[in-house]
Amino acid sequence: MRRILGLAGLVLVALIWPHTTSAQTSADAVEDSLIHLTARMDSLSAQLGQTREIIQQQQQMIDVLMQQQAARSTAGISRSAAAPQQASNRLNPNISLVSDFRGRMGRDFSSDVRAFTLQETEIGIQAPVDPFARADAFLSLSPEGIEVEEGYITFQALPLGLQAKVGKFRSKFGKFNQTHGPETIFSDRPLASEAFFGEEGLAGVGTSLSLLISNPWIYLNLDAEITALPEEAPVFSDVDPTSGEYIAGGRRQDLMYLTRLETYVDLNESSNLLFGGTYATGVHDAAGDLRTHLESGDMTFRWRPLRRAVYHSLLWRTEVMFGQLKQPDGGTVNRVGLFSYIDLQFKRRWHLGERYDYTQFSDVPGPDEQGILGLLTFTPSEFSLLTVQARGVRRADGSWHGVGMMKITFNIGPHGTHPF
Amino acid sequence: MAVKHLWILIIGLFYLIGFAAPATARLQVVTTTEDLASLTHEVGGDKVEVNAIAKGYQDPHFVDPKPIYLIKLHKADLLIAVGLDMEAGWLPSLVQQSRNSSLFGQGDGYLDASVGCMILERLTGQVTRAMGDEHPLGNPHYWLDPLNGRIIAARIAAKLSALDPSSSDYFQSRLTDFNQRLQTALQRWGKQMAPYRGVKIVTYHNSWPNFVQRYGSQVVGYVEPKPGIPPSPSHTLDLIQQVKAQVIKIILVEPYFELRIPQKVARDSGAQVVLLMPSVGGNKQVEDYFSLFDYNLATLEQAFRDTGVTPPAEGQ
Repeated sequence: MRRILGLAGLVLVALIWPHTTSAQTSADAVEDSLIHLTARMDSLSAQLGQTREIIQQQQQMIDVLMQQQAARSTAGISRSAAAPQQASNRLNPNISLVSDFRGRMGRDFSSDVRAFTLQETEIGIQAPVDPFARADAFLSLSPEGIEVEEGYITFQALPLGLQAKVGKFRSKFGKFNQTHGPETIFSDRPLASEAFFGEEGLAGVGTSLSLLISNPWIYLNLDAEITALPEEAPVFSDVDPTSGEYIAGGRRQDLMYLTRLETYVDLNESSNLLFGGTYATGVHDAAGDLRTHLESGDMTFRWRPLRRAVYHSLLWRTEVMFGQLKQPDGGTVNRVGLFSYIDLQFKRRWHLGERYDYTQFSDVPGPDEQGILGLLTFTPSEFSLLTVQARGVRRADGSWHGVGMMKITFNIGPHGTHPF
Repeated sequence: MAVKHLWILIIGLFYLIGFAAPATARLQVVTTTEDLASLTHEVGGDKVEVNAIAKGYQDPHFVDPKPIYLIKLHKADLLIAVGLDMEAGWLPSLVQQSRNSSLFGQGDGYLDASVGCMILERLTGQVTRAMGDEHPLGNPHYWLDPLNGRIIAARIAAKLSALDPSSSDYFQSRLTDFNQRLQTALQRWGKQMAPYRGVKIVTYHNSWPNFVQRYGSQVVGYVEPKPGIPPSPSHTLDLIQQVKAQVIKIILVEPYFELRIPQKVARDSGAQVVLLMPSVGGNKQVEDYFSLFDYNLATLEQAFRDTGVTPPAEGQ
């Protein structure tokens, strides 16, 4: 028994001895392991925290999306707790209003024009009709009454890159003619535009086809219009020899035909040029025998530095138009008109502009008129403007007339598209 | 007569060449911004050809609807827009004139990237322009939250797969890869900005709500008195007082705004003007969606360090 106990004691000592001799080394190793484990736990804890944060963020997004989904299912997408919209209201067209208030001083305006006028209030109503077409209507409210300035349906994507328009619309004779009065920067219309097409510009009831000429290099667009003969355009009218008033030319079946080719090139990312050429024809006498031919060329240069697009821009547009009016004696009266203007945005809210006008008249052979106009415009926001303008005109009789003008326009309703 | 025939010949030639131009196998994608173009490229790879309309250094609210864009839109298989009325001033007229029926009425070729994203500042109640150029549907700068970038990329992948089902696996594989890289980047960016949570800043325009929500800064004022309205002298003086009183050190400015007023505020208050890029392409260093955040967060972190910014104590 003693022998056994002695042997066990020896074995125990043998077992313990190596450990006691290396106790210091083992303690270091354990400590190292603990440090590593602690660091690992810290790292995992940090990763867990970040993962929790991401899960929380994603949960927040899910909550918001579910709330939005719930709101949609209960009250359309209106987020107004006070007045949820009916679903049918969402199909209402966009309605906007542009008002044009003008003031004039000086002796160069007709006696029936007051010093201050609410020149025009234009109501725009626009919406898609169906997946294939959209409708646009612009009603003009003025001291003369209510008029449908434009009202048309556009079939937007016909085969071969065609687009068709049917209704009453402003003719694409040059670029300026396409702009509604309140939306131009001027308090008046260029002399040539008035002398050729009257106070409201050229518009007609009919149809148009627009073709985007597909090619890999440049923008090319061809338009063709067939409209009833415009009633108030001097170039399509005769003058009553007794009253001196314009009488609309043509019979009911007489039409105006117009075609326009437009192209555009980028000079660099800030500057571009747009060129257009237009030809139009119709008759100008009551019997429909005497034909008017019109041609025009227009060029628009734009500069707008992209990095400062809200502060600086420049537009220079020149349009020249020619008219040939057949006369009862077989001869032809040739007419020329042109205008050129610059609009410089020199600060975010300020524009400075200048326009030169020249025109001959469709009904008066010989004399011509020239004018020059300067303007300073302040735009509090993109939805309103105040402009003061001074214009000098050398009339056909050789006399010079000066007039000071003011124009305030404002726009309410949905954000419209900026014209180009 | 000869001139007339010449015109017909020229136009006919252009037209024939246009139709004869070889159709590319790649999906033609037009995006309104370079951010969306970058995300589309991430997912679409070499199966798509992407063209962005607005440059990254351009204010995306104000873009000229140049006719040249019609050529791209006319042939586009897909148009991806920011939505929320961001492009209300220029995109509708381009789409209407594009003669591309798939883009009309949010058709099969149209993707509103905002759908499904976390949109902040949706306005409730009456909204008028007296509030400035507000976006009633929500703040449209939502791509500046990378988690929204993930959602946008997923929707682009789904749309591309619908348009080109044979490449669906390819798009999904690229989306998975994008998500993995974004997840890694998210952790890196979160860690980078963690020390600065709660720091108060001023921005020029309200372009950064999603960005600051993700990375923890607090926007306490704007250089603009109201969205889209230029700073007035009285507002600028008020802002200087506010910056001084709240010891704000950072004024963030987008690259398309003038620096004169922000610099005056900074000069008079001891703050620093920091130019951040709200979009891919804002400068040469910001060439894709990842570098957009890399650049902005590094710039912001450096500015915080330079100005000795310390985050406010808890509860402040």
